[in-house]
Amino acid sequence: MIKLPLILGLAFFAFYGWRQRRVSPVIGVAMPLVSLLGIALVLWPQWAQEAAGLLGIGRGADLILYVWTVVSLLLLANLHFRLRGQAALITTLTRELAILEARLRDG
Amino acid sequence: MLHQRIEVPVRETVSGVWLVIPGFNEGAVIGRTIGSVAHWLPNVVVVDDGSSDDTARAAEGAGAHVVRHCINLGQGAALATGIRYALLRGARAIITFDADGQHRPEDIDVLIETADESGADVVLGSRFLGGTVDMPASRRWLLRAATLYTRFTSGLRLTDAHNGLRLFTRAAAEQMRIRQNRMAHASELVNWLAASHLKVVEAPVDIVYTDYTLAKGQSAFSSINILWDLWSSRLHR
Repeated sequence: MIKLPLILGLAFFAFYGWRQRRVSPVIGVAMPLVSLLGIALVLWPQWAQEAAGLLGIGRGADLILYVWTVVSLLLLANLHFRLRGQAALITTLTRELAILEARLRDG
Repeated sequence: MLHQRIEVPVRETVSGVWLVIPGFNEGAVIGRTIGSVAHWLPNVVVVDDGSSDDTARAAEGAGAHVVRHCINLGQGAALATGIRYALLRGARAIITFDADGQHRPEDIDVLIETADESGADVVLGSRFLGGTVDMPASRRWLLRAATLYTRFTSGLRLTDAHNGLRLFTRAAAEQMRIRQNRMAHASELVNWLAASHLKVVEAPVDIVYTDYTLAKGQSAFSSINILWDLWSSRLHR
């Protein structure tokens, strides 16, 4: 019963990520990939267990937790660097505005 | 490519020397600071870094040019703005000066003299070469540690890496890019100087320590933030 809303939600994020590929290539690739992987694991949960066994982790749930942690950190880092870029733009804008105002006052 | 040092001595073009003062909520002291330097240099620009007090009005009232950031960006960003403004106004040399009154106006003359005698592109004030008194021991050790760190990371053998009193010729100022908005700009500046072909010398200057300047100064905790800014900036050049 829970599978349908989960699949719909993940499909939405896959679509949204793909639409963002021009704005943010990292999101454009990572979000659809992770979402599609999520859909696959919802449909075939035994895959997680099999993959965990191959990697020597033991439980499929643990494997998903580890992957999720890594993906979350990567996305956070991407967000952080984008924010730095935005801050640099704000600095440039503020500087140019301040100098323009001062030059206008100077005549 | 090596650039050419300006041929006219800085002293002979004092009307072309601009003093850049970054200020954030310095309304209580900025007028006095500007008044004290007016005798030495006619061109003073105060960059009001989004102050919530009357810093801009007080600076204008004291006769300075005022460039006002509509939001607070940090001292590094304010310096970069002031330097850019001074260059646009045709500055032949630029001296940076703190707003809180910790520098002695007569040291402006020391920087100009040192620049002319040495032919340097950049003159950095050093409190450890001057006769600075009343420096708290904790501040002395913090600055010594910062200087050692800067020597280690930049390779430039300076005695004081975080003194706000500096002189840049126009050619040097035009090449400068300050990317660190906050206090890490001082270390960033030294790293840039070490990588440049500019001639850098130090000049002995004094710092006046008062309760006000100490309250405005950097704490040991701030140095952790500065280190973090420097390290994290290396991840996204």
